[in-house]
Amino acid sequence: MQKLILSLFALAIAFTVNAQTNVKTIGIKTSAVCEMCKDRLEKDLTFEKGVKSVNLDLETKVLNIAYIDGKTNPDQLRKRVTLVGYNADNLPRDPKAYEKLDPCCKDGGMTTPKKSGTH
Amino acid sequence: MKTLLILFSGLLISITAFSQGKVSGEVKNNAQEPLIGATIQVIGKSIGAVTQIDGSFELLEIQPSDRLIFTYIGYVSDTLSPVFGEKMMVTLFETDESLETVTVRGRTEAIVDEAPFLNILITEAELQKAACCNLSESFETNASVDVSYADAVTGTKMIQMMGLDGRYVLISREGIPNIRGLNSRLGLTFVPGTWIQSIDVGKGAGSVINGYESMTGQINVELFKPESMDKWYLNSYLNSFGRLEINANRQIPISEKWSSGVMFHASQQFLEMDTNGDGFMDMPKTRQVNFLNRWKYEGDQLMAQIGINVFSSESAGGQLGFGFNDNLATSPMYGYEMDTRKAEIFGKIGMIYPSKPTQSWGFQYSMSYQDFSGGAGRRIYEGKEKTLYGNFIYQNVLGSSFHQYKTGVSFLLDDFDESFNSNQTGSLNTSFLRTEIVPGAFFEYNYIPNDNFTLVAGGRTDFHNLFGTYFTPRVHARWAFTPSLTLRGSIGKGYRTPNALMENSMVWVSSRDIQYEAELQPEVSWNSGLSLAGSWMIKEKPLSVVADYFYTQFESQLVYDQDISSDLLVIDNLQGDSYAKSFQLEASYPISERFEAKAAYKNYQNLMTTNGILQQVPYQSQDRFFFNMAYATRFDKWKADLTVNWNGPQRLPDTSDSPSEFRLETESPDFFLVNAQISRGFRWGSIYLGGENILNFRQENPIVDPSNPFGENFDASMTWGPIAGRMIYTGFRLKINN
Repeated sequence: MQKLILSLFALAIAFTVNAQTNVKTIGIKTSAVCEMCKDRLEKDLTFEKGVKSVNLDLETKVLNIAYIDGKTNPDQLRKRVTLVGYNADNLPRDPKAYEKLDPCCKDGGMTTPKKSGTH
Repeated sequence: MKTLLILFSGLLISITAFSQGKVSGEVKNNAQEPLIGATIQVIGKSIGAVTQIDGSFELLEIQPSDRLIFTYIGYVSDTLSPVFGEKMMVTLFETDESLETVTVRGRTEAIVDEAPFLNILITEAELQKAACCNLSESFETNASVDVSYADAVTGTKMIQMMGLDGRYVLISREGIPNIRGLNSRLGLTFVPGTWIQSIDVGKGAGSVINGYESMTGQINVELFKPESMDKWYLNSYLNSFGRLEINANRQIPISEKWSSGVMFHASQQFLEMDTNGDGFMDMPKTRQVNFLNRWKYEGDQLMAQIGINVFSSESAGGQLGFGFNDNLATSPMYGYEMDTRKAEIFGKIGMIYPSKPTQSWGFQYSMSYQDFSGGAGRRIYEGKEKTLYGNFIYQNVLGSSFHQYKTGVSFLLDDFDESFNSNQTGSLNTSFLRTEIVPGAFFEYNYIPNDNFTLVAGGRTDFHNLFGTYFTPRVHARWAFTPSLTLRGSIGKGYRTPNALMENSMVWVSSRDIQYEAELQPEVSWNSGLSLAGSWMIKEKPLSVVADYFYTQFESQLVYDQDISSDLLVIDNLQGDSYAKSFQLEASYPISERFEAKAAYKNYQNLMTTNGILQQVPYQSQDRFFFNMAYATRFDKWKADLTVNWNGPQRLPDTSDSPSEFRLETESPDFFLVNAQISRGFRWGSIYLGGENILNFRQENPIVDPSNPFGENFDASMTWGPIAGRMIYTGFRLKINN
């Protein structure tokens, strides 16, 4: 019976360490500006198929992603970033997703006080 | 009420001047470090700002009626009214850390803050560690509340705190006493788990504001509010015992000031499980529907809410084949039935004064009707309870914020109409009619000279129409020697009216003759306790340790004595001593970013005079160990949990006068209970798979003489362990917020 418990736990760990061999990393330059953007992007990409880990460097605005080659690819990842509402390298953001962002995440949102236009 | 108070205290920070426009200030965490990049938004407007490197911010074109939301990742958002003409100093607290509680957080350290009460907050994340099903299962990963099995037929789970029955704990829903009276045994199953936002577990005599009934502790359940709900939430759960649940929550935004939310639960236990082959269902078949709708108004000064909760539940158990429509009194089978329905209207109304920020008042109320119909074997029970409750609280300061007070008046009307028929001459055939009318008044003084010391001294006087005047003094103190070491102490008196029939529903399922000898009087106890909470950095991670000791002494108690004879349950007022000593040592430590471990040891010395002897209360492990290991990846994409409970031997009631083949050992064996769960998060929600009692431990032969249920040796009430074995469950949670 102890086996069952151990295997439940092993299962959790196994999912995070398997298939390390074909893991690739990519840096995507984004238009993220604040902690809120960082959280939103990292959270969304965490649940993207094939993604192992995500980290956004707010200084450089570069989103570093480790992913499993074959399950996803750089184009799909960039596309996903635009659907969250941010530019991804040369790919422009999705305007509808951008409109839904909090004011602070929009262009000029980090300058205070800020009164943005339409919401 | 706590929510209201937190809302108030948030609002009270603001000081109104009548100039309008510019608002500036600083945002810090509770360590007074500036939060960089925290966002401030004006509700309903597209005005916002972000804090600078020193935590400062500035906003223009702000109206006095505007409300500002302060958010920062990993911190609890705060909603405040703007302050003009001086700097707003805003403090945000890390997630799961509430203003008034000491928090043992799901994945981090125990935070020691200004709360004078020893409180443990169980958050939504913690609740999800055990996906099933209702409030009675919500304490699985909490060391301070123990869950035990009532008997081998009714499926009822009972909670205990400090080794004493859960009936000595005041269980409130958002500050309003909720699971009490005739509902004190079954009530936990009528609070669906998916409705619960968080639970506060307070050990020791609680605040006088919520009444005199918290004798050993207070458990306050916060349900999801219209503003904190998901737009849509859907959950379904299925387990290997044949239990199916569907839960749906819906947020209904109406206008800037009005909002509403609907919560729905339907569940069914559709299989007749008999894992031990004794011909009895291990738990009854049940069906329940439960509905709650709440409306909330949030104005500039006035806040109000009103809600309605209705449910209906049916159970049918006992011998295999006994159905919902079978008649207990005439069926050849031994059956168990319990049908109950409740309707309740509840709400709050509160007011703050922008010109007098330290002052506020609030009023909370509830009205309910509940009826019960059921019984076991040939015993038939009918009960009705009508309750009317109101509590008015006013708070202000005396001169400065070093001296704060809360005062108010309360009113309780509780009307009981019960009947019990053993259908046997010479046995208990009785009816109880009782109306309690209890107006009361309270005053609580808070002395907060600095961050390191808090003293709360409160008292209340209640005028009980049947039992005379109750005076309830309570004192709590907190002293932080160092930022990482805090001592708390408390002492207080408590009262409650026992409801002997419902509280002994487990004895209905036995051939024991119930003898009711007592003249009804309130149970009265004194509870005192000390706790020491510390936090130390080990390998750059905080090890949190809490040690507490509580002593409960009963002045008056209704004793349910099974020791006089194995043929009897004698209900009588305490003659002799009754006291409980409880010691708990708990430690938690984040082993790594993903792993957190929590362990506790508990020792209960719970002695009561039964059969003329001062002895350990039956069905009570003196020693217990608790261990929980939690694993989670970022954003909870993967989560896994393992909980191990070790229950030491329990004293069993004296059965030496039974025929030798029906005698029990004097002690139960010790046993382990192991639960585990794994869940996977998605953008849309999560799925989970888990197991309870994975080691498949069962009490062998939980029913004495199951083949002769109407015979004189039959007894299904002598339960010390799980009846059914291993249970596997699975389910999903779907959240839609766009």
